[in-house]
Amino acid sequence: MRESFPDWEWPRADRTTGLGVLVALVGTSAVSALAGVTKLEGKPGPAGLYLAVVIGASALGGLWAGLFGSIVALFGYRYFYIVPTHSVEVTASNAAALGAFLATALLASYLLFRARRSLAKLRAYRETLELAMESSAMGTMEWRSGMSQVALSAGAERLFGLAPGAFSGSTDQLLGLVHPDDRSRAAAALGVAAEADGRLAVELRFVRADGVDVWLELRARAIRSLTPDLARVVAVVLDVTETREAALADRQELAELTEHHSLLSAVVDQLPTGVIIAEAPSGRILLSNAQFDQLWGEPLRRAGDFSEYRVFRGYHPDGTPYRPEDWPLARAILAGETTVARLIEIDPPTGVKKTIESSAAPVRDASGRITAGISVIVDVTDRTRRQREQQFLGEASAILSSSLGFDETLTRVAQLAVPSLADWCAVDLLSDDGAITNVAVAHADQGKVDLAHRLQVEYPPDPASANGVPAVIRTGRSELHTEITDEMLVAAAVDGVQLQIVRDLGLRSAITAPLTTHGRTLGAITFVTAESDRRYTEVDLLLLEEIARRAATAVDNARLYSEQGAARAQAEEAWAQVSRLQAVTAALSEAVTSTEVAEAIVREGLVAFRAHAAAVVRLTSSGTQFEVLASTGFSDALSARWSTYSADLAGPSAEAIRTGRVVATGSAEQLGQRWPNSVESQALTGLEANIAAPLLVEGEAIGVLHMSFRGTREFDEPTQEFLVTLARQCAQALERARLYEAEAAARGDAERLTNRMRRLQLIVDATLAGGSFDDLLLGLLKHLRDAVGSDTATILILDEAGGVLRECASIGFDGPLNTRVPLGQGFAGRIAASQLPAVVPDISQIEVVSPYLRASGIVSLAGVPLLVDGRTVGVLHVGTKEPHGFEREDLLLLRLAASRVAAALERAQAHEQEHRIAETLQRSLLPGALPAASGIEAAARYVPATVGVTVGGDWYDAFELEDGSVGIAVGDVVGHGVAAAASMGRLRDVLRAYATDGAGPADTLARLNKMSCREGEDMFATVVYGVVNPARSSLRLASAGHPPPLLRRPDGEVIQLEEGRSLPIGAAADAEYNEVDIALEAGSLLVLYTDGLVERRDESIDAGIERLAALIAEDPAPVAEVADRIIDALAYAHHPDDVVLVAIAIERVKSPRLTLSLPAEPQSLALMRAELRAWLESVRAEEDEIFDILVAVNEACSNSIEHPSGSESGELVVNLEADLVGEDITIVVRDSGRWKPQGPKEDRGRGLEFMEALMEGVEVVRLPDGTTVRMHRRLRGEART
Amino acid sequence: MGPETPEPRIDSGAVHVRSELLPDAVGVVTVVGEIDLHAASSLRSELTAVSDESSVLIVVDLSAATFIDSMTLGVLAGAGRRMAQRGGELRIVCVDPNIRRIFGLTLLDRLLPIYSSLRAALETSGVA
Repeated sequence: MRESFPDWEWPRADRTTGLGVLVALVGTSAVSALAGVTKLEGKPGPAGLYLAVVIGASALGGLWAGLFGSIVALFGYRYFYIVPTHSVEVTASNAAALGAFLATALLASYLLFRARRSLAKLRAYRETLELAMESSAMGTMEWRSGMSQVALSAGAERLFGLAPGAFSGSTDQLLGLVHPDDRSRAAAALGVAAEADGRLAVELRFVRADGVDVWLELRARAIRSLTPDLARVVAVVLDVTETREAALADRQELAELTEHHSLLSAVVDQLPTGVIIAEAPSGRILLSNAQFDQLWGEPLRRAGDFSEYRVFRGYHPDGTPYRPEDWPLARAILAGETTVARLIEIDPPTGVKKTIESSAAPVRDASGRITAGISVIVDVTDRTRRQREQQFLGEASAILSSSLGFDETLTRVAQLAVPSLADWCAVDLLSDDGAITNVAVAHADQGKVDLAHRLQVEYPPDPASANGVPAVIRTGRSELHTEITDEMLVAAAVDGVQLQIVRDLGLRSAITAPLTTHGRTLGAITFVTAESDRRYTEVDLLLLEEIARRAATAVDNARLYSEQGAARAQAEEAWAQVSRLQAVTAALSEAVTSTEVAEAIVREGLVAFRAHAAAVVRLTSSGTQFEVLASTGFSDALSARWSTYSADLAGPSAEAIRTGRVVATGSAEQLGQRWPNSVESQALTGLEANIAAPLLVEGEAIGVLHMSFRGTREFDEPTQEFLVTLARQCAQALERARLYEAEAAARGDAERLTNRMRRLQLIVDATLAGGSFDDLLLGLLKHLRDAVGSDTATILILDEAGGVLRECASIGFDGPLNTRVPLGQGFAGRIAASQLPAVVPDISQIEVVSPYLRASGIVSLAGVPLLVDGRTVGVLHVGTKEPHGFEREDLLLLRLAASRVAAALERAQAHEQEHRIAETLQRSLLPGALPAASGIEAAARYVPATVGVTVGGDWYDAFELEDGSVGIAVGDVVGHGVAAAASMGRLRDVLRAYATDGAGPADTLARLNKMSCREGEDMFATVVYGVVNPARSSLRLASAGHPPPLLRRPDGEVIQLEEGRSLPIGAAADAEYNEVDIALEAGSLLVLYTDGLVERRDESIDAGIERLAALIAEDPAPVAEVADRIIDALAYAHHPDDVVLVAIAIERVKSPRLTLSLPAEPQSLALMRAELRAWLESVRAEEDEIFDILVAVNEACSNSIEHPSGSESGELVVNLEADLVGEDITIVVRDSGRWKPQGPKEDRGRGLEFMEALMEGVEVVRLPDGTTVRMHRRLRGEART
Repeated sequence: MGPETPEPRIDSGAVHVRSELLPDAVGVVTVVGEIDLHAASSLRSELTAVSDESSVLIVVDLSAATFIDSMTLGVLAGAGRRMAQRGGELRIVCVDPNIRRIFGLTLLDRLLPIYSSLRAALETSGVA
């Protein structure tokens, strides 16, 4: 509900005023107008009424209505009242009255208009104000007629927590709501507000009616009025609780913060660690405590931001300085990182470096924003030092316990002490003679170390000195000089120079501790500080004494160690020799030749003996000379000159050979004395000692191994033994190498020999290999070319008729030569004519008939004639593009090749001829076409051999016999070529003659055999002969040693017809032949073949027959297809033999007619379908045809069975007849009743439709005595061919 | 050799019709062998057995059927029509191309949806 504005009264009062004015004006106007009219007429008239209209119009309609009303009134007055009745005299008084009237009316109208506009504006203001007050915690109050009563706006009521209507309007009630503390103030404020022109703004606390404390601001103003009753005080009330509270909170917070800060400072100052707090993000340091200041050495200058952190000088462990943003505090503020106990080396303004452990963490506000960073710093300088000392002790112990030599060990310990424990560290040892030797000095600066060494040399310590190292060593007690004073330096200095040097070193503090072990003082260790400004204390002394003790133990151990060293060195040397020997052995194992062996020995021996020169010399086979196989370390000039030397000359080599022992000469002098003129002594220029060992193989010296050294040397027993061992290795290896070399030489000879043999063999083999004649010649030419190393090889054949040589085969030319060389002319012509080989080193010197020879760049030629029985049949020649001297060996090869070529040519020509004859003969003897007997289908295939040039004696024959049977024979005459073909022809003819004469298979074969044997022919053949009788579905079969025919039964089973087998034709004159009678069911397939089909070189004939059987067993197909498939699969793979295949399919015999008579009952249908299906299958209808026909006939029969007119079921009969004529099937179904008309039964009625759809012709004849359905369909018959 | 009369194949003439009720008001009628005039009644009765007022789907599985006649088609068509009348469906499972051809010939394949497996026929119904 929209709240109405509560101060509605005061605009209304204004309107009242306006109306009052109006009434006054109207009254005045009316009086003046009436006066005018009265004066005019003397009596009141409707003029007053008109005036009322005008004024009313003005009041209601505004300015323009008033104006209009005036005019209307004027004219009305004039015309309706005055004019029609009287003539009015225009008098001055009249005019004045009228004018006054008009002016009054206009003024009234204007005032009314203003009043209306003001009202509208006021309304708008009011609404705006209402809206504003409504949306803010605001209200108004108004006191009128004194201060006792107050009006509250709804907003004000709300602020005071008053329920609507709960406020009585009494100021006292309102004052009652003021908080007791503020009541007097409130009363005073009201008093002020009530004063004239009083203005007031006061914040007062109220306890709202609902009990809530609020702060309200009252802004009041007294509004004066002419009429005292209109005077009032208006106030606006605002809720300022939140503002006040916020301000209060701010003030409190500030106070608290200040307090916190002081508190924090106080707390932080009490902490034992240094603390710095910096604000984020500037890094300005807010707080640091006394401990930090102490640590830092001076009060911290507060940095304004990070850049001022530069005053903190600190170093990472690796020595790099901290940048301002690297400090943990900075990291905490900038990156929010928390750092825990980071070790930092700091360099405070005091100059005393310290190690601190700094931890830092960011401080975050509730939102997670980093507001500050806090860092806690602990001075860990002492702790770190102690740690370092412990660390040093550990490391020093490790070094001391290592197996290093003790000088080095002590040096390492001294170095380790610098600079963590001391700026200087020195170790002095007491030698057995009482001298004190400095063994180690360490300082970070090597220059200073050198200076120390110089000082040691120039100013050696006085062993009798009362203090310092000598004193410590002498007394075994440590010395601690916390502070090295100048006086001490002066006292210790020998002269001014030393004093100056020592002063310059700036020594500060020193400790010297004795190296004592087992009660014996071995030396002393001295630690001195200088640059680090460190002062040693008693604490340091304890540590350093401990180090000294440990060092002493190590020194003691090292001494013991060095005493054991000699023994161990010997053992090591022995071990090393073994290792070296192994190295030598390894190197030798890779050496093959004598030189390689010698080089390996020299190389490895030099290392093994640490010699400076080494040589291996060998006695030559004559035994009179030494030859240097390998040497090293000798000058090149000498090596070259002394590559061989006489074995007779006296010297170490000869001596070693002679004695079989090691010859050692310790020096050049010794050598010179023993063998003044020895070659070796000259070779050994610049060298001193030499040791030579003989190289012995089975007791015989074959050479000498020398090792030479620059310095003089005594060769002890082990060294000599080692050399002997090495020499033995060397000798064995050399012997092995010698054998190897001998063997390699022999093998080389053998290989050359073998190579020659192989090439010859290749030429021979080429002619023996299978393949075509051209391939043979090309292969032979290739081998020949390889054998003699020529570029070309050519065979020319003599064409006897033309007396010219023609190219037969060539290689190495770009294409065929197409050349004809007349006999006796040119290179080849002359060879052919003379029948003599010829060699032409340069063909530019001779006449060449074939331009190709020159064009192809041939330079040298060699050729031989091809001779057969002394006749020239051609020429073989080879050519090279580089000048080539053909040797005797080459010509021998050529001749060999030529003989092979000639033989091959002869044989090939003969074979070619015979092959052609035989094949022609054979083909002519095979039957052109197979007999077209009814009931069988036959296909025959003959494939002559494709490999080789032979023609076999395979044949087959098929002929019709008188009784309609078909005779089929397949045979294989042993042998090849024309003779076999001829035999085959005769055999075939005789067999056919006997067969057609009526002889059965066994009889036929027996007679054939007798004939063959009688004639004394050397004929041997296998034959299988069978008579197929389609009418009887039978096969009578006899075989004369022939592979078994195969029979596939209709069910797909394949059997081998093994029965009826006898001896081959020509095997024995009295051989008996028998035959077997086999049923041939319709759909059977009979396959006869020759062994070429099933025989393969690499497997048994049984495997071949199995493979053939598998092929036949596949899906039945027309015989021609079967035959092709078999030939493709078996014969063309490779057949070096002829192949004959005859396949005979026994056609299915069709049933002429199916007749069925079935009881007219539903059970009959299944039987009918089974019968009909069998018949249809027998006539080889296809499955879809069978189905269609079955459905159609089934419908016809169903209709007959459902015949309604049947008297008793079972008495009625359905007759079915099925016929096949050609491919046409006709089926007739007859019953003895009448078909139901179109089926009332829902499930029936499609019968006829089915028949018509499935069959090609349907006739339904309905007669009183029965219905006949005749259906017809033509079979596709694809599978019936 | 005279015409040999083949053995009557009575065994293949035997017909077996069996039915099965699956959940969700689905019935399956399986036909094995040849259905003809003689066997049609058993098909009809099995169809009746699996269908009631609430049947939504009947699948007639002819996968193992080797022969059908017009009577069978009539029975199936009638059952299909009845099913359709009450918002159900009759589906045929048939793989034999010859039998399918018969359905095609009579245009029944437009009336009765034919599937190539029982699974397919049931799957599309969401029953499998």
